[in-house]
This record gives sequence, C-alpha cells and structure tokens, in this order.
Amino acid sequence: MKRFVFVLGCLFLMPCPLAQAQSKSRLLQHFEAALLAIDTPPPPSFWTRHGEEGMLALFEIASDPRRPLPLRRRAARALAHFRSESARQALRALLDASDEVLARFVLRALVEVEHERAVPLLRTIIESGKPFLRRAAIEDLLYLFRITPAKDHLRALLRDLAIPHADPALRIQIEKALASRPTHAAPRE
Amino acid sequence: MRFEVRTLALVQALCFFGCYRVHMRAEGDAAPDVAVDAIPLSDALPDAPLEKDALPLYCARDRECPSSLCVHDFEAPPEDLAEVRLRCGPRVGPLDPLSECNSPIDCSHGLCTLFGGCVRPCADASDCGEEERCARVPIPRGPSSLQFTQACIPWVVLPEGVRLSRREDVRLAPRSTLHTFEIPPSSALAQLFLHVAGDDDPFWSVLTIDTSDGRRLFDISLLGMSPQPLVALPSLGGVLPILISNGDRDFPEGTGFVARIYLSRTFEFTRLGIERNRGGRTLDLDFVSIGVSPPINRMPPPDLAPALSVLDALLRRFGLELGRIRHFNLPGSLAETHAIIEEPSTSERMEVGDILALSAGNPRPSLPVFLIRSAADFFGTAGSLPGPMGSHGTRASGIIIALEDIQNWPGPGSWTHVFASVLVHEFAHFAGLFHTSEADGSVFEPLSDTPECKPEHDANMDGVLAPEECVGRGAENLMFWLGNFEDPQLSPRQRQILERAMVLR
Repeated sequence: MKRFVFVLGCLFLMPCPLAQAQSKSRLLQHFEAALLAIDTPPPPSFWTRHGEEGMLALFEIASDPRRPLPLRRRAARALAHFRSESARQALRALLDASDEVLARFVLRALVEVEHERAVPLLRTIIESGKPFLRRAAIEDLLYLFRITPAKDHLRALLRDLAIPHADPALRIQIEKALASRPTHAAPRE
Repeated sequence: MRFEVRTLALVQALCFFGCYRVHMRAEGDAAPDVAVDAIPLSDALPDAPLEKDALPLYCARDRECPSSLCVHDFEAPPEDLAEVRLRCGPRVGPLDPLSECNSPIDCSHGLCTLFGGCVRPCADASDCGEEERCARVPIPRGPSSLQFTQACIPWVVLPEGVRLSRREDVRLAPRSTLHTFEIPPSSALAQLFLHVAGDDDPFWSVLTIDTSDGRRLFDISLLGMSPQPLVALPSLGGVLPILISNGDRDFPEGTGFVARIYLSRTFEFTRLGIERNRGGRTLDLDFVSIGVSPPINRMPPPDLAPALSVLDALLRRFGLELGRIRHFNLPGSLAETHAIIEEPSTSERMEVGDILALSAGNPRPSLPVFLIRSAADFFGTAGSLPGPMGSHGTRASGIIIALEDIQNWPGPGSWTHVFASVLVHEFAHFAGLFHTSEADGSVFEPLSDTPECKPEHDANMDGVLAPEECVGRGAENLMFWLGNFEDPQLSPRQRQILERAMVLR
C-alpha cells in the first residue's frame, strides 16, 4: 500500500518538474533563435521581460562549452541588459572563458552593468591579466572615461596605467581622449 | 496608439542620440581615430630643412613644390598610425591619381591607398578639383603599418550609366537647424541625394518630403506607423542619403520634390545628386580583411572561395551577378582594434563608422566589404539605409561582416549560404531595401508587394516576431529581420530597387 501511495505521489508530482523543464527548454530555444538576428538584435525588453529566468537562460547559453561560440558570445553580451546583482555575478563567473572574444564581450557587459564599480577589476586585468584581456580592459577603461561625468580618477588611470600597456592604435585613442576637455554627458543606459 | 507611442519614443531616442553625440563633440571629447582633421605636415614640421635651392623639403601639397611634386618620403620610418611624411621630389610612378594601383611605386605621388587607389596629397579643398574633396585616407606601409594622409578623392565614383547630376555646397544661416531644398524634376529611374559633412559626424534627419505641388510623400512623425510613398531614415555617419523613389510610386515626369531636413546644429555640408537612367546588373566587391584570413595577391583566400560561389548563385537568382573582386588586408594595430566590435548596434556606432571611413581612396564604384572576426550583436551591418553608394570614405560607406562568427554559424544551414545571404541582405539595405518587418512588427518598407508580419501575428505574445509566426508573411524573404538562408525570396518591387543601386554596373 505504501509503495502504491508512493508511486501515485510520484506520478502526481512528476508533471511539475517536467513542465518546468519544458518551459526552460522552450525559453532556451526561443533565445537561441533570437541570438541569430542578422543585423538588428531584439530590444532589451525581449530578454529582461523573463526576469531572473531569462538571465539564467542567457547565462546557460553563454557558459555551455558545447554550444557554438557565436551564440555564447552574443548571449554573454546580452546579459548586459540585466542590471541585477545576479547578472553581475553571472558575468563575473564567465570572465575566465577560454575564448578571447567571449571574454572580451563578458568584460564589456560587466562594465556596462557595474560602471565605475568595475574599475578595480579593470585595473587588476591591466596590471596582470592575459594579454588579450588586458587590451580589452584598456578599451573598457576608455569607454568608461567617455561616458563618465566625473572622470578625473579615470583620467589618471588612463595616463599612468593604460598608456604604458597600450599598442599604438589604443595609445592614440587614449591620448586623444585625454586631450579633450571633460564632458558632462550622462552614462547611457 | 501603440505605434504612436513607439514612434515618438523612437524619434525622441534618435534626437537624444543626436544631441548626445553633438554634445560630446562640442565639448571636444574623443574623436574617432580615422576621422580627425590632420594637421598639414608643413605646419607640423616648422623646422623642416630646406633644399639647396630654398624649396621646402617637406610639403603637404603639390603647390609647395614648384618644380616637382609633393611625394611620399619612403625614407621616413614606417611608424604605425603616423602621418605619411611627404617631401618635394620627382614623380614616383607612371599612374595618375585615381588609377588603380598595386604598390606605392606605381603612383605618381607614391601614395597607394588601402583600397588600391593612387592619390595626390592636399592640405585643403582648394588643392583638389571640382569633383573632389580633401579627405583623410589610409596608406599601408608594408605588412605591419598603416599611415594616414590628406588626399584628394572623388566625391563619388560611379559606373557607366550613373552620373553626378549636381553638386552644391550648403552654408546655413547661423544657428539654423532646419534646411529646405528643392529637387528639380528629373526623368531618372532613381535619384540618390547625398548630404556629406566631410569629416564631421553630426546627427541629421529628413523631416518631410513633398512633391512640388504639395503632396506629402514622407513624414518622419509617421515613421513605422503607416505605409508612406517614400521613407527616409535618420543617418548616423556624417552623410544623409535619400533615395527617390524607394517605394511603389513611379512619380510622373515633371514632378519635383521639396525636402525638409533637421540638423542637430549648424554645420556646412555638400549636397550631391546622383542619377541612374537604367538598371545595373554587376556588383563589384572590395573586401578588406581585419584580423581574419588575409588575401593572397589581392584575391580572396581559399577558405572564402566556396562562399563566393554561393554568393554569385544567390545574386543571379535576383537578376544580378558578381563582378570583379579585389581583396585587401588591414595592416598594423588598427586590425586588432577593429577585428572585434564590442559596441552594441543601438549605440553611436563609433567603431562601425571608424571602419567604414577606411574606404577613402577606393578608386572604383564597388561595394566596400569589411570582414571582421566578431561583433557584439550582428552578423552583418550596412553603413546606412540607403548607403552613400559610390561615395567612399564617409562613416557609412560600405558594409561589415562578422566572418569568424559566420564561419562558426550556430544555426541550420551551411556557413557559405549564410555568408552569401548576409552579404546580399546588407547590400540590399545599402541599396535602399528595408526589413519586410522589424522584430517588433513595425514596418518601414514602402513597397506594396512585400509581405508584412505585424504585431497581431505575434502568436506567443513575446513582443518578437519569430519565423514560424510569419510563414507566408515575410519569413521567406531575404529581408526578413532574421534573414532567410535556405530559400531567400525577393518581391518584384524589391528586385527593382536592388537593380537601381548606384554601384551596379
């Protein structure tokens, strides 16, 4: 009798996790299709309307080494639309990606989510990171400098930390930016 | 109502975008690395040594060298991204400016651009001919260095059968941000108006277009809300192209037009009118590899060959054909900078503009195609819609394709088909075709025979139109917002627009 009740109970409970799995699978398929847009990505609300579930789906795509790289790269970049603490943590967890392009997109997404809170991380990467990520970190510092109203501390970092590590193309960009007067443009969300 | 709100938001966003960019520039913030006015070398070198006959050794233009030319000083170090050093000297090579070149020593002034064109240096517009402008052009210096110089390049380079019908420099009254101009009647099959702001990168937009007898053909406040006979999108690349007609309406002979343009601030620009009297068929391509497989002897590398065969077949399907292809490689550290585009498509597209401006000095009426490794959110992108066809060196001149991402195509179908479809899709934007429907169901395409998929077809109500929701309503079309790589279609009217592209031979 006990066994019968147990089996019955299992049968009763089974559909819930199954339905959840189906729903998650549908969301993943849905997101993967949208990540294939040729030239016009879906609006941010397309991703964010699913809330935490949407963020986790993008994280799953971005972090799955069995999935094709272009999908993972775009998924990581789309995580920037979520301005939540969990998105920030997800991006931090993706930073060690072995694909350099993926790592660069993750870093830019992280900078867009964290803004100036990402500066210590950028500093660490510029001082001791992998070469490809170091270049990305310098570019991201420059990006922050361009969108940040109070930029004196970023100016100093660019001058003293970034320029010595930059290649000619980057150095020219930094020098041009430093030669400019401060702007009061607000960060773009 | 939904459309109204969305369109207003779009226009507001575009206006904000323009103001934001202008603000950045007005405050002197960082300018793109390839679009900054160069200081004439003669000014930059005040202590330049003099030759025995007291002629200046260094120069910026021919007129500073009375008995010789202002030529490339090959003894200068090939420092990456430095200005080309010029000096007075004898003619270097046999080819005149605007000829195609393989090497600097082919050219009279020793200057062969990234796109293989001979150029002559200039300090300002007064050094150039009537149909030229003085622009910043990229000059490769060996396999690992790219330098820049100011040189005379044509306003437009057009194939036979397409002509520059008018050119006018426009100087607005102080603080004027509205400009109205008349377009006289023409019997041309298609007219393209290019408003080019030199190296400047302002925001501007067409507000309205009327016929000269007062019928309204386009109103930006109705953008995406209801079908309009003409559609003109705002432009982001220092150039504002307007294609007439880009819709069903074959305007009767004798019809002129009146266009009203909004400028985010007062600036000078040049208006060019280009006319095409019969359709073209052959598309010439100029590829530039940026961090991907380089060309071999200026021809595409073997790994691209199968994709080009598919491309030719796809063009033939639409009544076109692939013409002559040249392929170049971007040398130096800029290749590392531009190989990966991290900025989103919804941003100011600074890097896209920087890349497309490298087409300055292309000597032929081709489509510049930049092949990069990867982009944040696109597989391909066009400089603008329509593009400044035949006008090279603007921040909207050409298309960009994320080749590495396409070669690792994660969807169904082979990458070669995807490559071909993406390239033709972006060329079609450049020629003036819109998406049949955008992801959210808004429709900009003014053609009556293209299928539309609208918000009411969004079966799962997720705000985005998936291909399975748009079967028979545009999902089969090459210009569907997600593209179509299996069996792409174009409507007869779409083909007509494509055939009128000003770069087709």
